[in-house]
This record gives sequence, C-alpha cells and structure tokens, in this order.
Amino acid sequence: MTDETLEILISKFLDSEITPGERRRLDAELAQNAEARRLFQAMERIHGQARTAVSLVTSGGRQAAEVFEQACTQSRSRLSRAYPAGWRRFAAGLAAGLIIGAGATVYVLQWIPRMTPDAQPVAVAGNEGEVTISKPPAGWPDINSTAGNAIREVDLYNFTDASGGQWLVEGLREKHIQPAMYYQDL
Amino acid sequence: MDTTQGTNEAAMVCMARAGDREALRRLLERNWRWLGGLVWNLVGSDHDTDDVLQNVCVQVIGRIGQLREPERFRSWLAAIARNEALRWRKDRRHMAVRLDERAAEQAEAAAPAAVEQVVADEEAARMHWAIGQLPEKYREAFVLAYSDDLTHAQIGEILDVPVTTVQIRLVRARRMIHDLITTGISERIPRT
Repeated sequence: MTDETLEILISKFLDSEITPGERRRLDAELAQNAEARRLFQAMERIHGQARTAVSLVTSGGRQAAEVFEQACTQSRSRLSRAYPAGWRRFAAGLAAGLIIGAGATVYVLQWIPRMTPDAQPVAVAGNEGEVTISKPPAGWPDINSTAGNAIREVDLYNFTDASGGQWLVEGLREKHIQPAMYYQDL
Repeated sequence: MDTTQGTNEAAMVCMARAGDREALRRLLERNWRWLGGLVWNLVGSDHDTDDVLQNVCVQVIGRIGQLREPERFRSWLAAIARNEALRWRKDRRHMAVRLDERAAEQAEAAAPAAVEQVVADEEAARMHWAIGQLPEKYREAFVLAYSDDLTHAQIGEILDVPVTTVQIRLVRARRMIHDLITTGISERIPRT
C-alpha cells in the first residue's frame, strides 16, 4: 500500500467515513507495517487535539438565537431607514391604485369588442341562425325567431347606422355576432 | 447528508421563504457551528466572527425569499458567509487568520496552572499555530471538519466541491499539521 493510500484510509477512519472493505485493508496494513502504525497513532493524536482546538475557538461566540434577534432588529431598522413611513404609505397607496386601475381596465376592455366594427350587424332580417331573444331590452316588443328554438343565449343592442336606421343587434355572449333582425320599418 | 435531515431542512427553508421567522431561526441554529467555523477561518477572531455572523444573518433574512433551490440552502448560506467575511476582511484590512496569535493571547490570559495544564496549553497552542500555517482552502476544510459533526459530503456541499476533493484536502491538511508539529516545518505545504 502506498503512503498516500494509507493516509487516505486513516483519514477516512478518523472521520468515520471508512467502508468495511477499506477498514479490512487498513487493519491488514496496520498489522504488518510498524511505520503505518506510528503514522496512525500520530494522526489519531492530531485528530483529538484538533477537535479540542477548533471547538474551543468556534464555540466561544454568541449563540445563534441572540445574533438572529439582533439581526432581525437591524433588518427592520434598515428597512425603516431605506423606506420611511411616509414613503411606505405612499407606495402602498400607489400600488393599490394601480391594482384597482388595472382591474377596471380589464373590466372595460371585455366590453369593447361589441363596439368595434366587427360587432356591427352583418345581415338584415332573414335570420340565418335560429335564435331566441332571451333578454329583450326595456321598451322593445318580444321578438322571436320563426323557428322559435333557443340554441344560444344572446344579448341585444341598439345600433343606429349612418343613415339613421335603427337596428336591433344580436350578439352572442362569447362576443360573436349573429345575423340581426331589423325592427321598426320592417 | 442524512436524507431525512436534508428533507426537513428543505421543508424548513420553504417555510422560511414564506416568511416563517421561527423556521429561519431554527435553520440558522442547526448550521451555526460550521457557519461560525467558516467565518472564523476567514476573519480570525471571536469578536469579528460574531460581527460578521450578524451581518450574515441580516443578509439571510433579507434574501431568503430569493433562494430558489431549498435543497442548496447550505451552499447558499456558505456563499453569503464567505462574501461577508471577505468584505469584512477587506474593509477592516484584517490579515488572514493568525491562529498562532490567538493562541498566544489565550496563553497570556491564562492563569498560572499545573504542569499538566501547561503541557496541554502548549499542545493547544502548537495546534493553533499549525492550523494557522495551513493554506486557506485546506484550513477551510479542516476547520469545517472539526467545528461540527459534518460528513465529507456535507463539507463538499458547503464548499461546493466534490467529496473526493474534501477527502484529499483533509488528508493533506492532516499531513501538513503532522509535519509542522513534529518538525516545525512542512515540506508538503502546497502553494495553493
């Protein structure tokens, strides 16, 4: 066995990291090699002294709980210095305003497609789809399709074209536009 | 690392990330001894070690929410500790560890003692001196191995090096200390 291998095995033994196979090899070497035994004893002595010396130094400081509490206090005071109370209140208000504004924008945007050109009526009378007006607006008569079979829920809107014509527009809840029925002059 | 311990620690890290202060305190307590050894290895005195450890705690409190891999808590903690210690050393223009000086201070402070105690003190002083002569990366592994009951794998995790590297560093550190103590010089001290 080489010196280096012997030292590795001794080191692993001291740190309780040696495997059973390595332990057998180490025992065999120690049994037959006086120099190996001397080195082993010297390393064992160093091991004991080092444990005492290092633990003496590293265990002398303050305890974790104490340091942690002070660090917590230090962190809070740093936060206070970095962001005084007035600024923190302002930042909180600003954040709340942004969130409310974003929510309102999303709410409004979901209605916009119904007012875009795509949402304008594409047909006059002569419905192609079979729909039933589920919620006629106030003041409008009850209008049903010829078939009278409800196949989709629709919303109805007023629409005035460029020439002043009044249109009743049926829009599917999914924002699709169905053919519309003309009202009043028809 | 013990799998159960590792799992528990990762779970505690998750709790700490979610704002559980008690979990964070327990995490630091569990890792306190080796953390102290790591910092002490770089700053070299108890008082400075305490100050640096407090800065480390402040950093950990402020940054635990950014830790993405809970299972790598130890190496993350070690990196913070090393950075804080090195910054402290740079700011204070401290010398790297002079354990022999510390041993001399301890000897001066010691009260008159029996012969056995004097011998023991001399042995301790010699050991301190020898540890202080080690190149930093060997001393780092050596101090970690003796500051807590860490396995080679755990030391590798903290230092972010393979287990075999830890084993080699410990073997060389022990050989250098053996040579230093027996002859006063070590022919095997590597340059790095």
